[in-house]
Amino acid sequence: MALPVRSLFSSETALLAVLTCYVAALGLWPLARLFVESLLPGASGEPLGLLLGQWQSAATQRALVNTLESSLLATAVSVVIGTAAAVALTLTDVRAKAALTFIAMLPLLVPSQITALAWIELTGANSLILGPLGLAPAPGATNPLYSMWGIVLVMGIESSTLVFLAVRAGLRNVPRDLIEAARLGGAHPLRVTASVIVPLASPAMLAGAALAFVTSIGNFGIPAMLGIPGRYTVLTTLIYQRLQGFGPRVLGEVAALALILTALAVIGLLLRALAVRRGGFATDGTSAPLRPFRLGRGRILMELLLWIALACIAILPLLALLASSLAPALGVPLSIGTATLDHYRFALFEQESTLRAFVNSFMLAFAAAAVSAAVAVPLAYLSTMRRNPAACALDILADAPYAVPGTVLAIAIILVFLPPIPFTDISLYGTLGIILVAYLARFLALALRPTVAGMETVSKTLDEAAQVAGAGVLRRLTSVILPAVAPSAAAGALLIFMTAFNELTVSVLLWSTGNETLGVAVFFLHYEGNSPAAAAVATISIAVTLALAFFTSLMARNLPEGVVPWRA
Amino acid sequence: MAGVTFDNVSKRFGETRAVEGASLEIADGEFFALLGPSGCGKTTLLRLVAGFEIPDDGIVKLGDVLVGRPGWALPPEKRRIGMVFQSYALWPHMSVAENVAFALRVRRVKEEERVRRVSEALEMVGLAGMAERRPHELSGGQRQRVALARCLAMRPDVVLLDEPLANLDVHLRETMQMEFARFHKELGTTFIYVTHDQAEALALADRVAVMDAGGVEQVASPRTLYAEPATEMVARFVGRGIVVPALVIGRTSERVVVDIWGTRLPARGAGASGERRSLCLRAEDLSIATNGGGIRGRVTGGAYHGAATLVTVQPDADGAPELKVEHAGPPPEPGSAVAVAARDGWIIPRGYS
Repeated sequence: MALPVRSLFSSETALLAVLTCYVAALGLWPLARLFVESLLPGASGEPLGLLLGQWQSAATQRALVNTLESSLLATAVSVVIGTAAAVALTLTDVRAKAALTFIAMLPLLVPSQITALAWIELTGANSLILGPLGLAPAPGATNPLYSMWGIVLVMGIESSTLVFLAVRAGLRNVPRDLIEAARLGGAHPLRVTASVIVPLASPAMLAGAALAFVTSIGNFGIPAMLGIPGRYTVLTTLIYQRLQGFGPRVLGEVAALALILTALAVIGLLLRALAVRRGGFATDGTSAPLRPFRLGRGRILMELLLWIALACIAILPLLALLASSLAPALGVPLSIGTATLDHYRFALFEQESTLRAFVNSFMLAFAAAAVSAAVAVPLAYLSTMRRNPAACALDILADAPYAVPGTVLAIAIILVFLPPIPFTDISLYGTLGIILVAYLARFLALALRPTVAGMETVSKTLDEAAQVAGAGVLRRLTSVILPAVAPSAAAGALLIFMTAFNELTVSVLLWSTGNETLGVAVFFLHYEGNSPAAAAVATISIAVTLALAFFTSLMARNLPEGVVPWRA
Repeated sequence: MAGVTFDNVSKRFGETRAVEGASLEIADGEFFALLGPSGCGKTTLLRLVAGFEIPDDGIVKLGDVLVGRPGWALPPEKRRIGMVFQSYALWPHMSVAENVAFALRVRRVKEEERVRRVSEALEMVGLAGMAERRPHELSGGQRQRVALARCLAMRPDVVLLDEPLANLDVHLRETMQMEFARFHKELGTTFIYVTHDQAEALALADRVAVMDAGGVEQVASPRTLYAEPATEMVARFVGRGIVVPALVIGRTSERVVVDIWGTRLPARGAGASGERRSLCLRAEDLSIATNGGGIRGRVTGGAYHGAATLVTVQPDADGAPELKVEHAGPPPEPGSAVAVAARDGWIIPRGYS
């Protein structure tokens, strides 16, 4: 009987070895390389020369200050919006919560560069929404968003969704008994909110704020679209401009910049971990979930306020984008009669690169989603169900390429995959392959989290029963585990598809002619001054994303808690 | 101080009828228990007193004040009601003293008096030295006491206790029971105590309402409830009575004579000759007959309880329920034929099984 036991162990070990190689080669090794590279001596040989050189340069310091300033202010904006929306939607009895929640989630689903584009169309001198109302800037005037405050506003709105989700979860964790005890103590709902609910939900708010900060410092799309014309440079756009201008020979320098960016991200993530740990105390004791306060006659007022605020934040810019994509020649007012699909025709059929970008992004997103889900299932199995310590460590490490800013990962990937792959003379640089490698590294976490959440709901005894029946590890994975967690893994794959389909931050540093992505196409169409075409392409890609999001939400009803992040 | 009145109150949650036509008069200063299996509506009734639920039908009064009618309820914060939750519901971000002082702060009680009332309340529950602790630094029993102190410090008109002992171990439960009784005696406030544990209800309450499926089955003192259950449900739920079908065949000067499976028994209650009624039998009123007269059956098992053994006997008659007999001394072997004698029984006034 010794033989089957040993073979069973070895097949599990073999599986673990394959997974380790995958995670290490795609994500960990490049990040380690970046770390080492950025600490190398400078041109004149002094220790840590690269890092010190960058640290002392005026451009870096300017960009660092700008990054901190815009991200902190954007975080403040997102905390205000996200908390207000979460409190209103969780603690009060307003109607149509599902619809309001979906609108509050929109900024999460729309990629940064498209959000920025939409806001540019909304607030520009040619705005088809503000123009007819007489609120648009004078013709010829610079768009007011091409500034630090523009970045703060748009980035704040975008990351408000993260705060919203965190605060909502925090509020839902406040036991109903604690609120009822305070009301019996004589406290009015407002007093209860201030003395009991807010203190208990504040760690969640802090965690959400830290996440918003980390997302903001790593944001590329918004500072690129708004900051480059506004001459407001942050670290991500500085790295982009350096690499764009000087090519791979400045890799060492941008690696040093990337390390600074990583350090900021790590600080933010540590703050978040701290806040999450502090939040634990609120959830002791068992009690029914919180019940919303009745607003009475004030309800209709609150509803009106919510609809107007959320429409301004999330819907108006998208309408401006849609209007711009249908706009006839400059100066002709938009109406049913004058609307034209010319920009769509131009983007899709006349400009070869745009159509190519659609195909490329579709393939990349599909491959990244399928492969990542296929890797996530055995990894989640070994870490969550088998409690294999090495797999648990791998599970945590797999988050690293997603936790660092996309810009950092892209540079790490260039560092490793610019030279030919060992024992071959093939270099991935300049091919679609390098973008796929980066996506596989970056998005594994997006498939892994839902799969782990799904795996946690599957009883360990199912696996043990199959083991007793004599099934080996691969057999158990395919016949017992996969059917149980397939929906969760599929939800993760959909998330990856939606994110990768519109991705810009990573691909803008890795693309080459013939290997454009959709994000890059929108970015450069706008850059070249063809905003209506950019708007048309953006509209199509949002339509695809929203359709997928809608489909995922339908699926979410049959999924365990925590699998789909925006589930109402 | 106030009593509580329910007049024909109903509460539905969607399709579920949590409370159905409940009427109760709880007197000022009474220790009143709501007893019933889980899902019987007792907690909903308590939440109607607190003001967390709005009745669909009927009215709720605190003293003479109408506090709940269909579609409206006085908000809980305007009711002067204290409540001890099953989860204790201590605010984890406040110290023990802050927890106790909260209601006084909200009511703008002057600092001097507030401090005095907080320390009084903490002293009363025996936690005078714990004022600066946080709830998570306390044991389950101490948390329970803080919850009680918090409730007492606000000097409520009515104190509600929602399964307050459910999360404590057996020894602590007995101590806290005695404490509750003491507080009630000292304060003279109306206590409404929800529990599914009949021993708690019988030990503590002046009167008990037994609830089932949203309705009130019987309201009575613990003694009456045990000796004279009004319905079969009460007979079974309180003291695990055994309900058997009986035929009334006559009466002596103080007892009614009934026939069960051919055996005659003296019983309490009312009944006319020839009536078919339900009879409640208690284990302590049954014995294994030594002279052979009684209900014939077979021993199916025995559970040793220290002072006595609870012997189960399956009567020979068709469809008869198993009887439980309290038996001192060595129990008869399982499978042996015995006769069970009864010295007392209660004719259930309502219903016939």
